[in-house]
Amino acid sequence: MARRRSEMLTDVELEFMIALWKIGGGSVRDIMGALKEDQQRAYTSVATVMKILDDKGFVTASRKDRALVYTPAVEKRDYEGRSLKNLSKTLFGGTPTALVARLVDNEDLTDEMIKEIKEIIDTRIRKDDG
Amino acid sequence: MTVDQIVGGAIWIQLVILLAACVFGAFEGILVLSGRRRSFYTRRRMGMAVIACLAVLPLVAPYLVTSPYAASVNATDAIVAQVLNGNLDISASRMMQILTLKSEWMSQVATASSTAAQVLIAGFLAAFIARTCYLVVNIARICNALKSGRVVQRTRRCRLVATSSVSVPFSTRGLWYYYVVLPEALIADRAAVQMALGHELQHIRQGDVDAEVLLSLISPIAVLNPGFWFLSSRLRKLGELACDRAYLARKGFDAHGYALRLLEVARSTSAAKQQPTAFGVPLVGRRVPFLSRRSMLKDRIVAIADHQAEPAKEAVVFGAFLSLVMAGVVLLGAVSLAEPEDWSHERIMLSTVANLDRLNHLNTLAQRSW
Repeated sequence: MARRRSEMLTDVELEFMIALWKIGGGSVRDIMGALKEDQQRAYTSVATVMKILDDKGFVTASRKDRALVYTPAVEKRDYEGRSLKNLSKTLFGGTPTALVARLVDNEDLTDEMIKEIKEIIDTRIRKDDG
Repeated sequence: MTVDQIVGGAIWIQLVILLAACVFGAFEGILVLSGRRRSFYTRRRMGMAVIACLAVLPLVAPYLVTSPYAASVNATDAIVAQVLNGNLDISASRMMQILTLKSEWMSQVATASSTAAQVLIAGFLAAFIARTCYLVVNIARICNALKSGRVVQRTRRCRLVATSSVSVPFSTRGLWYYYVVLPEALIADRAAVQMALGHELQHIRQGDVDAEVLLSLISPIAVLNPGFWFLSSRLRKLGELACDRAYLARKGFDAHGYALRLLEVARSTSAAKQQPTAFGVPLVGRRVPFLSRRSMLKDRIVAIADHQAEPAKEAVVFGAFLSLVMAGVVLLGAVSLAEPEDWSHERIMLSTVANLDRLNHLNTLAQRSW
């Protein structure tokens, strides 16, 4: 089943993408070789993550001999722009800093409040078409 | 302009905002106690009068303070006069000490010479910067909503924009036009569009959008002033209540359906994450901490129900009269809190009495047989 396309990369996926951007493209073994010492993982783990990246549309896979060769489908610069945009959304979007959010939050209606308001509407406000 | 004058002006503005909030609160209290709690138009008009006073004060204050009547209403001079008349049990020297405390404190703030003054300045600047950043972010979000949307209708002064980047309808204004921004998802629902549009246009008509923009613009300097937040939350709430009433007063609008739609929008967007709130007037209102723990939506629904059961009658002339009186009180209060340009007759007299007291004390010491 196709994985849901995500705009952003997880930390591990980003490590692999950085390695792939560095070498420009390569097989799972090539990517493993480009990973830093402390980022080394098992062949199967790398292959799985690369498959996920392929599903997400960040890389394209082509078969060369019997091995899959991955090439980046997203430019590093494009992804950096996207991450900055995402960061600003995270910082200023739904949950701004405490002081600012508290000053202007929309109402957080609980189920009880909604029920109570609905009851007032149904019992106290009559339908009136003019 | 000297640093002392800037600090003095900043303190005066904070005091005037606090005073305006107290005056407005007192007038509101009188209306509520006299059984006019549901006079939303009158109460809102009073709130607008206060905001208008605050907006014009920086422009008219220099003339008011230098007018011949200013000295007669100066709060400090009034207290000094009471001391000189013997109505307050305090010595002239002690009164002089109290009066110099204010200028010493202002001088400390102006030169940041004490830790308390430095903390105060740092706190004010941090709040100012945070609020300004918040406004900038909101302006960016509003611009983004307008840019990413499509203009559905244009009138001479207003633009109706549909965009998928917001989930709550809101109205705002630019330099030349008012904007009513509706979520793209709402456009297909004709009744919902009619209700949202009617509500937002009513906000524009009754000046809520202008008041919101004005309040947002002065908020960075008043962000730490509780009077400001009291005033803005009251004005916002009264604006919503008056808007609901005015909208429903128009022929052909069903209060039950309107209330249900309000609840639906509030429910579906209670977790809305992308609403630009600082310059806009969102359809379902917003919560201000400490000042409105109750549900604003519930208050609005109850007000609609109350009005349907027993329509409240309001006299425009009475509201205008109250607003005028209140504006007068605020302006008078602002002048009374201003620092007079020169020492008044009372201040000179107090200083003379204090000096005489001091001389008398020295003479007493000299005459004493040691």
